[in-house]
Amino acid sequence: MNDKRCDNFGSFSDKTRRAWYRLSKNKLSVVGFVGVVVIVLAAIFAPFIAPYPTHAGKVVDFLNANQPPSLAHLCGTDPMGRDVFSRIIFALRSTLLMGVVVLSISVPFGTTMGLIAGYFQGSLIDSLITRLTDIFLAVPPLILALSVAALLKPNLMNAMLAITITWWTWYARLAYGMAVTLNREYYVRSAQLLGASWMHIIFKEMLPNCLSPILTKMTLDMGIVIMTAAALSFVGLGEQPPTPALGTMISDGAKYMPTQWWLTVFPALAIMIIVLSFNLLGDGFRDLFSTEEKQ
Amino acid sequence: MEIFRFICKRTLWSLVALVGLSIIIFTLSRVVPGDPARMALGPRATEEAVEALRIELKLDQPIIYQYFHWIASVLKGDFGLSLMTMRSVTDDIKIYLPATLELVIVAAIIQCVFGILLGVLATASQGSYMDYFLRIIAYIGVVTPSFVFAVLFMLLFGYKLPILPVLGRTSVGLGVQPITGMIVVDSILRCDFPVAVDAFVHLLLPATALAMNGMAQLARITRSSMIDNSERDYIVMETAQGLSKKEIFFKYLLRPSVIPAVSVLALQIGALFANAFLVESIFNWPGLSRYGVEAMLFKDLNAVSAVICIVGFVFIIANIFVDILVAIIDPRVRLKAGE
Amino acid sequence: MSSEVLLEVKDLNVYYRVYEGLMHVLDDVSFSLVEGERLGLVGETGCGKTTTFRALLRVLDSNASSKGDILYKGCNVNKMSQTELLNTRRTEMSMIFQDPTSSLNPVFTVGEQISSVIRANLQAKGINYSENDIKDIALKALSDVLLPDPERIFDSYPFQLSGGMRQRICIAMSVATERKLLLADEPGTSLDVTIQAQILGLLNNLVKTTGMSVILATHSLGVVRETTDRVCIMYGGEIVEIGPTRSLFANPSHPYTRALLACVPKLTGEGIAEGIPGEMVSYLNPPKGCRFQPRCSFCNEDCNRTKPKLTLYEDDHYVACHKADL
Repeated sequence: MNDKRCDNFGSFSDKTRRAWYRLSKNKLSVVGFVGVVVIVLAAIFAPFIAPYPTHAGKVVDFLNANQPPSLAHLCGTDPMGRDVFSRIIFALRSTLLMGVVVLSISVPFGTTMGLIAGYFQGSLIDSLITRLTDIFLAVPPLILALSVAALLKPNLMNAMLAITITWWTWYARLAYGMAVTLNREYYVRSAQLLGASWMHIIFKEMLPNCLSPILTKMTLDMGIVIMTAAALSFVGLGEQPPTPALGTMISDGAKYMPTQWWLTVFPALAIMIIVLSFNLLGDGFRDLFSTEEKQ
Repeated sequence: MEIFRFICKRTLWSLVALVGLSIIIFTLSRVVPGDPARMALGPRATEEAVEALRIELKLDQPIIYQYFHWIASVLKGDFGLSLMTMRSVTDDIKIYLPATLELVIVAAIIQCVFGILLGVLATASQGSYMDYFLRIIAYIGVVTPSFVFAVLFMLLFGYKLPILPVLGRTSVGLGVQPITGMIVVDSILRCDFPVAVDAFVHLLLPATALAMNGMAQLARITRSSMIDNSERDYIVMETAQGLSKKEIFFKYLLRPSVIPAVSVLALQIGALFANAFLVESIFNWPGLSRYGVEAMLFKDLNAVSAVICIVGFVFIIANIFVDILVAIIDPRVRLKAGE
Repeated sequence: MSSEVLLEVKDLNVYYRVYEGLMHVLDDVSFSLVEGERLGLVGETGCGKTTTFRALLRVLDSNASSKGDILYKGCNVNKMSQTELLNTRRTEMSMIFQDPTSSLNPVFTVGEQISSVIRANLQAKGINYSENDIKDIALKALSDVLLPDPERIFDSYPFQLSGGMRQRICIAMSVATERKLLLADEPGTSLDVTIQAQILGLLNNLVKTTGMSVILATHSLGVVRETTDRVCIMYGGEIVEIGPTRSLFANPSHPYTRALLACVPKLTGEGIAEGIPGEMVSYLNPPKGCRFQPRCSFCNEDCNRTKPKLTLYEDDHYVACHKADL
C-alpha cells in the first residue's frame, strides 16, 4: 500500500516510467509501438532502405515490367518496370506526413475551440462555435474532404487542408464535453473566485485534465486520417504521380487485376499494417488511461 | 411527448447546419481558380461560347446573387444543369440515388445484424479461441479501408473464385421497369423473381465490402460493452437471484449493451455513404456516389452541391431514425429527453 | 428457536487477481448460523462483508477465486452443480445489494425484473403458474415493503424512482418468494438517515413475520444491537470477534471491537470520538501476524509473528487476539 501511494504522488518522470512499464506489459501495444517505430524509421530512411530508390520517381524500365514478386523485387514490379516495394517505402513518407500535419493543426485548434465553447457554455460564443461544428458535421467527413480536395487543385497540400478542415470538429466536440463537466469542478470554480483569467483557467486548469483522452484519440485517429488520405489518393486527389501514394497505387493496380495482383495486394497490405500499428498503440494508451482513472 | 420535441429541435438545427454547409461549399467552389464554363466546354470551344455559358450559368453575377439564385431554385427542386452530363442534375439524381440507397440499406442491414451477432458470439465465448479469432477478424475489419476491401473482394470472389458477380446491378439483358428505382424492390413488386435474385446477388459483394468496417466496429463495441456490463451490480444481482444464464445474457445483458452500438449507427450510415463514393466506382455501380466522385473530379459544381445536399439530407434522416431506435431501446432517453 | 444448523462456513478464503498481484481478501473466515438466527456482520468499509456475501452465493467477480467450505444445509455451495446452485439461489438464499441505484437494471421496468425473479423461483419449486399469478405475487411484495401505488411502480423504470423506493424494490425482490436465508448488505446505507431507519424497521418486521434467518452486514453498531442475536466483527478480511450480541456489547474484548465502540458518536455532547488511527490493511501484502496489529496500541512481538486464532472467551463468545485478557 505504501509503495503505491508513493507512486501516485510521484514526480512526472516517475509517472511516465510507470505508464511505460504498464504499456510494455500489454503485448499487443508493444507490437503496435514497434510497428509504428519501424514505419516511421522506414519513412525517414527511405532512400537507404528501398532497394531501388530511384523508382520513386519517373523511371521506365520496360525490360523488368510486370514481374511477379521475387527475391529481386519483393513485391513485384509495375507496368513501368518500377519496384513496387521501393515505391511503397517512399509512399510511407506522404502517408505519415499527412497524418502528422492534419493532426498537429486540427487537434490544437479543435481542442481550443471546444474548451472555449465549453467554458463559456450558454453564451453567444458557445452557440457560434457549436453551430460551426454542426455545419462541418452535417455530412460525413470523407465526403466533405473529397469535395473540398476536388474543388481545389489536386495535390498533397490541398488534400491535407481538406482533411484538416473536416477533422478539427471531432476534437472540438470532445473538448467541449469535457469542459462542460469540468466547469462544475471545484478547482475550476475556486480559480474563478480567485479571479483567474479565462485563458488561465482554460489552458492551465482544464487542458491538463483533458490531455489523456485527447492523446488517446489522436493515436487512434492517426489510423483513420491515413485511411481517409488513402481514399483521397485512391480517386487521384493527393500526391500526384510520379510520386507514389498508397491509394493511387491501389487504384492503378486495380486496372491490371487479376493477373498482376501484386500491384494492388501489397499497397493494400501496407495500409492495413500502418493503420493496425497505430490502432494497437492507441488501444494500449486507452487501456492505460482508463485503468489509471479507476485507481 | 418530450422525445418528439427533442428530435424536431435536432432536425431543425441539422437543416440550419446544412444551409450553412451549402454556403461554405458554394463560396469555396466560386473562389477557387478555374473556370467551370471553360471546363465544361473543353479547351477547343470558342471564347464566345464560353462567355455565353458563363452568362447562362449566372457565373458573371456577384456570388451572393448566385447563391440566392441557386438556393431559390433548389427549394423548387431544381439543382440546375450538370456540366458533366449536360442534363438536369435533378433528373440525374432521380436515376442514381435509388441505386445508392439500395446498396447502403443492404450494407447497413448486413453490418448491424452480423456486427452485433459477432460481438455477442465473441462475448459468449470470451477467452476461447473463437473469441480470439473473432477479435482478430474485427481488428482487420477496422483497419482496412472499404475501398481496399472492395478491390480485394473483387480479386478474390470475382476472379480467383468466381462465385459472385462483380460488376453492375444486374446481369446483362435483365432489368425491370422502375417503380422505386431499387431493382430488388421493383422486381419483387412486379413479381419478377429471377430478376430480384439476380439483382440481390449483384448487391452482395459491394454491400459486404461496404459493410466490413462498420460490422467490425459494431462487433467490437458490442463485445466491450457486454463485458463491461457483465460485472455491473444489476447483473450480479440477477445472477444471485438465480435467473438462468440464458435469460441474463440475452435479455438483461444484451439490451443495455446494444445501446452504445446503436448510438454509433447514425455515424456509420454516414460513413457508408462516404465509402460508397469509392466502392461504387470499383464495382461499376451506377449510383449517386459514383456520380458524385465523377462530378467532383470534373468540377461540376451544380452536381457536387446537389450530391452534398442530398447526402446531408439523408444523413439527417438517418440521425432521426437512430434517435428513435435508441429511444425505443433505452427508456432513459425516451422518458427523460426533455430534462 | 430450533437449533438446526442452516449455514456453516469453514475456512473461507477469497483471492482477487489484480494488476499489482494477488489480493488475499478473506482469510480463513469461519462462522455458522442456526435456523431463524439473526447474525450481524460488522466492520468498516472494505473489510470483506460484501465479498463474504458474494462468496456465499458464488457470484464473485471473474477475477476472484474462493476456497473453503460453505455448507448450506450440509451441501457445499462451492462444489454444487450449476442446477443445484441455481435452485439454491432461487429458493434458499437471497441477497439485498448495498447500492440500490446500481443494482436494478436501468432499461427494464421494475415489474419485468421482479417477475423474472418470481418466475425463476416458481419454476424451481415446480409450481404451475400463470403470468397473472406472478403479477399478483409481485404486487403483494411491493406493497409488503410499504411502497405506495404498487401498480404504478410495477410499470416504472428504476430511474423514475427515488433511492429509498429502489432500495425497497430490491428488498421486495429478495422476499417476494419465501427464502430461508436473507443476506442483507448494508441496506439503506447510501440513503439518508431517516429512510435508512425506515428500511431497517421494515426489514426487521419482515424477518419477524416470516421467521427467516438473516445475516445483516452493516457498520452501524446501534443497528446491530437492536436487531441481531449474534454479532460477528470483521477486520481486514478476518473475523476478529464473534459472540452473542448482549455478551459482545457487555464485554468487548478485541482491541478493534473496543475501538469501534469508542468511535460511536454520543448524543450527550461529549465531543467526537478520535477514530482509529492508521489505515485499512493492504490485501496485497497483509502483515504476517495479526492483521490489526499495525493499528493496535496493545501489540507486541507475538502479534507481529503469529496470527491469533479464534478462541473461546466466555459463553459462546470467541475472540482472535493474543491480548484478549487485557
